[in-house]
Amino acid sequence: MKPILEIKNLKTHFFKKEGVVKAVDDISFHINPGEIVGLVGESGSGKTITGFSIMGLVDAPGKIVSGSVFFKDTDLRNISPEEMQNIRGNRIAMIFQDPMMTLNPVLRIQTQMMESIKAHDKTISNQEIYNQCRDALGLVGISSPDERMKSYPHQFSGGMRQRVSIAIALLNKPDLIIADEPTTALDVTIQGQVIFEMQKLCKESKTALLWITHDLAVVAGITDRISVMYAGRIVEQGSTDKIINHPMHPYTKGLIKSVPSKNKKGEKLHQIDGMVPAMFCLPEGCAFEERCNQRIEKCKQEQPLVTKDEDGRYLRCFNAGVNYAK
Amino acid sequence: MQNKILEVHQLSKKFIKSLDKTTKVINWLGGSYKEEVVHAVDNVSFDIMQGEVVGVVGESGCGKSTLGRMIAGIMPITSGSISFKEKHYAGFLDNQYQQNHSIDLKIQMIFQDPFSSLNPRKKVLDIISEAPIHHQLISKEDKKNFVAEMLNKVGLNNDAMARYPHQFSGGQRQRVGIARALAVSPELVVCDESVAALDVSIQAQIINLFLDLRKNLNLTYLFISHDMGVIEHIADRIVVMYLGQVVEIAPTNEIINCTNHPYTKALLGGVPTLDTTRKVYEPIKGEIPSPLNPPSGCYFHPRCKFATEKCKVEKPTYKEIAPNHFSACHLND
Amino acid sequence: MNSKISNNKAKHKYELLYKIWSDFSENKIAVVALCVFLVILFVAVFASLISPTDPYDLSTVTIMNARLAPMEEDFSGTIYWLGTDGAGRDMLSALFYGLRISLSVGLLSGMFALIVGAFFGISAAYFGGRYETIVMRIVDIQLSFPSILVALIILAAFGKGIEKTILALVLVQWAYYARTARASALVESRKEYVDAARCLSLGNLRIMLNHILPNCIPPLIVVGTLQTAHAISLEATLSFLGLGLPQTKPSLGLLIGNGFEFVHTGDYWISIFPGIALLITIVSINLVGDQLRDMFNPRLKK
Repeated sequence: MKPILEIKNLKTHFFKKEGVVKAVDDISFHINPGEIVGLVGESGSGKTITGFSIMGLVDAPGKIVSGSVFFKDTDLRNISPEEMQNIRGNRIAMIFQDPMMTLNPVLRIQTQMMESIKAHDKTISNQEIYNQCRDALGLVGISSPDERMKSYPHQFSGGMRQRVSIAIALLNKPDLIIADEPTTALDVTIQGQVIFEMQKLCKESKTALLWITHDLAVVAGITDRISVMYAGRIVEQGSTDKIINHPMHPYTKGLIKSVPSKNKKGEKLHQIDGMVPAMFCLPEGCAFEERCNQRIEKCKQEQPLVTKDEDGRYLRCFNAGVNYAK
Repeated sequence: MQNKILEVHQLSKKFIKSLDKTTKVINWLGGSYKEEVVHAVDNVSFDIMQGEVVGVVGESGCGKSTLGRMIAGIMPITSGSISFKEKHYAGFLDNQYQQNHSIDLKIQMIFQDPFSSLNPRKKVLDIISEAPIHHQLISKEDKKNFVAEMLNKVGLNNDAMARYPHQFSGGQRQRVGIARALAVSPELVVCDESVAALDVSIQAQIINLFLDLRKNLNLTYLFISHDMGVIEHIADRIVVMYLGQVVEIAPTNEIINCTNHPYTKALLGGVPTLDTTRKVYEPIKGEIPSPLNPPSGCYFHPRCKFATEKCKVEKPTYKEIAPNHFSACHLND
Repeated sequence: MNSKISNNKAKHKYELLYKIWSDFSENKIAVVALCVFLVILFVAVFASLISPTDPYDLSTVTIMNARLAPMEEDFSGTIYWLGTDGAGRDMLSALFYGLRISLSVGLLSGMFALIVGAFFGISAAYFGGRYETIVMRIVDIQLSFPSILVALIILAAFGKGIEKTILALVLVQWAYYARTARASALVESRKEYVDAARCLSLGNLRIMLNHILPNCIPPLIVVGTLQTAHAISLEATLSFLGLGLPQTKPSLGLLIGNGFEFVHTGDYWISIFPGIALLITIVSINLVGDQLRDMFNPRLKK
């Protein structure tokens, strides 16, 4: 099965007065049609910039320096702005953490939704567009869609606004949706609802989904595969089950072990000491070396290369250990 | 036998947006504008024992932050009382000017946002030593040694003293905030979403710091959070709030194993966990109602699976359903 | 904890100044304006040392030299670069002294107005309630009158003189500072470090002076520069009209006023040169203030 998105050796750097920030430094991954893939990392890991790089939304002083972003058969880096405009919002859609980044506060919901369809298909009639929009709202669980179409974003709660953003993303039946922390800002009970609906909708319409988040628990429940990022590089990739239950990279292991539910109640949590290195001066060797409890001499001097095993597990570590059993 | 360190009794906080002159005139002419009242905290009562960690959990609009601020003495109360070690202090009532009041500094607060909770123009040395010097707990000559000691307690280097907040990361700033609170030797620490803004790996560090400090300094915590996972781990007892009211209070393992209130069940069940057997979520339906316009009867009834006719009309009574386990639900009647 | 976590090895003070300078110098025009203003400031401070003559020393001034055109010589061979006025005073020297008076009145009144305005603005934002409403209503009412009108009313009530002029300027300007200070203080008062200070029982006055005020300084500096220009031009207007400063302490405005009668007879230099000096002063201060305002505006940041 040919992947719908294939990223090869992507590098996105920011050129600031103080130096170069290698926000995304040589990452490669792919998404198959209809698959849900999680991209997990903490702040400064480069996960959001990865999403922006795919969509071509990286502004100065940032630039995609090298690598390729293949969507179906096209390298998104080599196409004209008009062609990219055709793809954005149409074949690839994006959902942001703050729904107010998608929604214009001075336009009615109906205007924004209909505009999104009209931009990509000039042939349908207005009535048909209206019906599609209304159906989309119903699909994401918004009751009385006809009334809601006429409202403004500020008349909705946070959860509903996010649902509207999801509806807009689904309008043109894209092949891929990139969701950047879509449920982080929502209340816990609403988060559950939105995750459930997104999972259902993507499976029904066979849309591929890239779920970018810092929350391992969210991706554990709905993704097929997970990629873990640290300081601009992917350190581990594989099927969700393997990554969560049998992690190999010391960082992934540390992250999972430090979740409260994996620790005995009342006891100290397993913690990863130290902090993410400042992005202006990443070390020569492995970026995680300082904080790693499995480090060896080599880690300080060289950056670990990528190794792949038969299961499709991708790992960047000199000392992850050979035994796969936990 | 543990001593009671804090007693909160029927505490309430109302925010009233009174009518301006124009609407008053319209009303006089026959209109019917009403004042907007938000019961941010509605008749809350509970105790905290010395050395305990009491967790307060709830979603937006539940009033947990307001509750924390009233207990810490930085927000005036509308009615009810708060007593610290039997001494009634009850903050101050709404119609008086705000005063600074913190029961002789015994109750301190750790805030949520590491970026705005430190004064950007002060060095760490001054941030931590300002209050103890002002209250004459230490002398100016002892400043540096004292601050070095505090930094040590929270896991920071001495050279942090000469730096400004913007030179630190979120987790480190949170540590400075903790040191500032500890500098006045509090007995009760209110943590208002203190780890919510931190990365997962840093969260673990700060939670561990809290656990260490509790042991070494014999502190008592009121830990406010929306993250049930963290609260389950660190709290001895849990207070569950919804739209300003307490719906359930119980020791942690009872809340988890013998959950009573439907909202608590939803909170526990609807939260994503590291369980990869792709479970089907059973999220609860509906939105959180606006605090300006809460539902009639039991506030949770529009979203509750088990709601009956009675729930729509009558407010449930808050009562003890098992030793030390309180809940407010008609299903218990 | 690793100390290499913070990459800022330089001391905070110098790093901050360097950053301010590099942001400021992005606008070349503002840098030029700043240099011009520094020259003017230098002239004003050292007026008595660098003036060719002391125009107010009656023993050296003679009516024989009156109304000499620029670059003309008098009987003793002294060249008057900018000519002389109706009483025989060297224009260049009068200009230098005039700059000194104008600048000092402008800066002094600005400083007092800042203190008064910041006090009311910050305390209004901090305490809120009825006090804030009353203070801000007074500010709004005052700002709705043209400043020249307010100044004239005050001078009419209190009379002329240098102290009364400064008083009038302070009473006109405090409202601008109060409004800016209040807006800034409102934002700061809601931040958690103020809550923390309250929790630590630090006392209201201490919190306002020690915590809130230092964080309100950037916008106040911007208003300060722009208002200083405004004060200088306001004082010039008052002096031109014959109110404000007395004849013995002529500011640029007074010089313009004195020279006005000669414009019709073609002796333009007596009014024009002070006018140009005034213009350059005000424009340079405004350009510096504009750049400062853009620097501090986060929305314009890249």
